Amino acid sequence: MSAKRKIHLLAYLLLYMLVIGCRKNGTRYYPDKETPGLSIFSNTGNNVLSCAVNGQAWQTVTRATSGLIGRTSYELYVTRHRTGSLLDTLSFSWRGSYTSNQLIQGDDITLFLPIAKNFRLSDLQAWQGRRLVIDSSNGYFSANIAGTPSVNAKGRGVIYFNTIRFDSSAQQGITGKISGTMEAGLNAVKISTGRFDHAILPDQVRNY
Amino acid sequence: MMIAALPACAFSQTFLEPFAGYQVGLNNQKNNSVNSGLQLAFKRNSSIEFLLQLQKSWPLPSGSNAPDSSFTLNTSLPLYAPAEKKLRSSSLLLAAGCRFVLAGKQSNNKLLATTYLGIKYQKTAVSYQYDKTNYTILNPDQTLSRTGLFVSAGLAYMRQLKTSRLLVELNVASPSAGSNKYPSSFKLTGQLSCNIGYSIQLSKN
Repeated sequence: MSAKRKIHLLAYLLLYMLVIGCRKNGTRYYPDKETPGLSIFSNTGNNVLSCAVNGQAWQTVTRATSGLIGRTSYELYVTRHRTGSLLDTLSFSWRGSYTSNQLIQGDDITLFLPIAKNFRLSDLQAWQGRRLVIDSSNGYFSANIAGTPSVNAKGRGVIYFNTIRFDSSAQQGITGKISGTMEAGLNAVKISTGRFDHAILPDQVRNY
Repeated sequence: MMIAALPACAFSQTFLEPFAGYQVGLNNQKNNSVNSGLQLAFKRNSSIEFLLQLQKSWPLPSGSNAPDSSFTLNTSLPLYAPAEKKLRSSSLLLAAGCRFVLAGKQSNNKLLATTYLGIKYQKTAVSYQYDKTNYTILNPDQTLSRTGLFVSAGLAYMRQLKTSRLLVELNVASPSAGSNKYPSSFKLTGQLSCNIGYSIQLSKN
């Protein structure tokens, strides 16, 4: 092998180490012994949602924080969708996959909620400790799960926010904490025993 | 066999010491237990004895109860329901140590200091009582167990009988070294134990 080729190989190796080696796992997954396949119901910022989708364990992607190079990949995004109508929409969108097939991570489960134009994320704190029945008049669930015909279906369900608070006073942007449990039904898709726990960083809050 | 393997000249007397007692966890969770064990004491001279101890502690049947929280999405049930958590602690240890006479060297009543170093398996089992069909526990605790090195130290009172001895010992032990990754609301802690034992002479040089 020529000296030039060796230098190239060394450079590629260093670049690979920068991209991969510096990534940090921001998800803490603790299995629930009472509900095999799912994480525990927690409110400590474990950055995970897990649930059963038609009886199969499903969980969000690992939050991988980037190092020097590369982007951080998040499991949850909170997005404001501005509309031309009286109300905007706020969405909580969880990205993930079946636990048994984590190589394909194109699934998402989303909760859409109508909000007033002057709505602030800190107003969500009013839901802390409350169990909300989502029945399409006050929002809906949608799910895009591989192998299920649920796209565009508006699902009903129940969500309990054990913690929900957002803080816009932080210098870097809006941060927050949400945790709770949820279940939903969308035509052929049944989401049950869902539990979520996230410490939300500014990059996860979009269009605010 | 072990006793026979020791050099005959090294120890003037050898004792077998069965003991039993009670121990409390050095935290505020009242995870108390009873313990029993067997100890070999090798008397080197009138001031010092070397010890080899095997001890097992057993959880109390009642365990230690603590309230916890469970929640449900079933809208026909109350959102929150109390749950009861029970902690039951136990351990098994093998340790080597020594005992020094602090006072009463020539008397039948002695005050001694003891110290041990060994390996301890420590476990706190967690169980819950709640409606498992409808409710989910928030931040549930799980059974913790760990094996690692530990140290202990204590004071003992020894009453010399004709050929045997009576022992009362108060001992503070560290938790086994190491850490657990699960975010429990409790930790494996050290113990304060009080044991009563009887020392039977096995051999005399």
